[in-house]
Amino acid sequence: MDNLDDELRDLAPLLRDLKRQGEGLRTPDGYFDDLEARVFGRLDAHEPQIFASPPAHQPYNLMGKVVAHVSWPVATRLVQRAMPLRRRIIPALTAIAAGLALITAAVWFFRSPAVMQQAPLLAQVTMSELSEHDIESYVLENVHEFEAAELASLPPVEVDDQVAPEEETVPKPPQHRSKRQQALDNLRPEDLDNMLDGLSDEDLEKLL
Amino acid sequence: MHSTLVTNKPATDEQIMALLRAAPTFERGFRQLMAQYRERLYWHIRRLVLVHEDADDVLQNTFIKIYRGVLQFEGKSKLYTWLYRIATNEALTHLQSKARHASASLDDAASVAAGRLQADPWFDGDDLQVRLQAAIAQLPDKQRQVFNLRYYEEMPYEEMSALLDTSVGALKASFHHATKKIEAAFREAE
Repeated sequence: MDNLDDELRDLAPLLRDLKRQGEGLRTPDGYFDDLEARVFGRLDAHEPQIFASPPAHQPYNLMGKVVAHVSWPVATRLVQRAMPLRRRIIPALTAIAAGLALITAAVWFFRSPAVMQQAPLLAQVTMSELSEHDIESYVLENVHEFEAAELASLPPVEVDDQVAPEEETVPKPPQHRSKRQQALDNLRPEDLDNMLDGLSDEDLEKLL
Repeated sequence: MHSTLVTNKPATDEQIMALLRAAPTFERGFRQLMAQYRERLYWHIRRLVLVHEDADDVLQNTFIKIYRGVLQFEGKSKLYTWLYRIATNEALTHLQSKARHASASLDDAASVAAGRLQADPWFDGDDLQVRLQAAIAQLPDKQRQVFNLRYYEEMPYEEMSALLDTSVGALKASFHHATKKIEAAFREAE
């Protein structure tokens, strides 16, 4: 009984005829074309902190500018490739930056004989003060100073995929359905009519 | 900067969510979502609130809510199911607000909307259409949704079952009951 026309022919012929005449509801010309602009206008006016673009120096903005001008399938592939790539390279680059920072700190401290004995401790203090964001920013801003061969020789880093596996997008039917609802699924149209005769609006709403 | 969106091919829900979940492509993903679902959501809302101006207001509110909360969508259902529920809640809230403003009871909220339909410049139906909308407005909220989905969108019961989280049998019963009530309302008026 999935054909609506057949269903209405048996159930409600008047409604079937009315449907063919249309519903009388219409929209202004071009309504959907400028809807997007109006929604973003409201977002701009009321939620600037959400809508503001990321600062120019952040590397993400470059990706944003690129994907804004390509088709969405390419944009999706860019994002899907860039994120795992970033997850693999950044830990390795972080290690390189940490090493460079350690060497730099050691060289600086070894210039002064008075602090030579404290150099390892200070280096450790310096290292512990470096946040992951600091290291990442340093590496990305100075990535040209790293030898390509050096980067290529890095062992692959196991990526802890934080993206949840694709969940079921098609909802499963309700697991626990009352016997009454199960019986309803097997009702024939004539049985439905008999059942509906004694059913109030309140009963029907409870059933739904 | 508002970039131009390429919409010549529909995206899957997974592709839209992939764009939304990355900061640099969030806006692009949201525009794709809007382009893909705006008409379907508009007509769902319009058939509840009836007047175009109200539907436009509710639709914009719906998209703003979606913009704020889309990253909380966990993907346990279809994306449209989630969008539909937000739109429904916004539309029913709007109707209740209008009813309060008109000092009508909450049960009459949809009837208040039906009363405004004839004055809507974006309605060009005849008297029969007005009576039909008034009859639909008398239905309880959930039954009205079922009727609209089946009668106007011709949605299969199985798809409706997933959307409304209700059994197919109950939905058939609801639609049958609704059609009988509406036809009875027409016979009474004659």
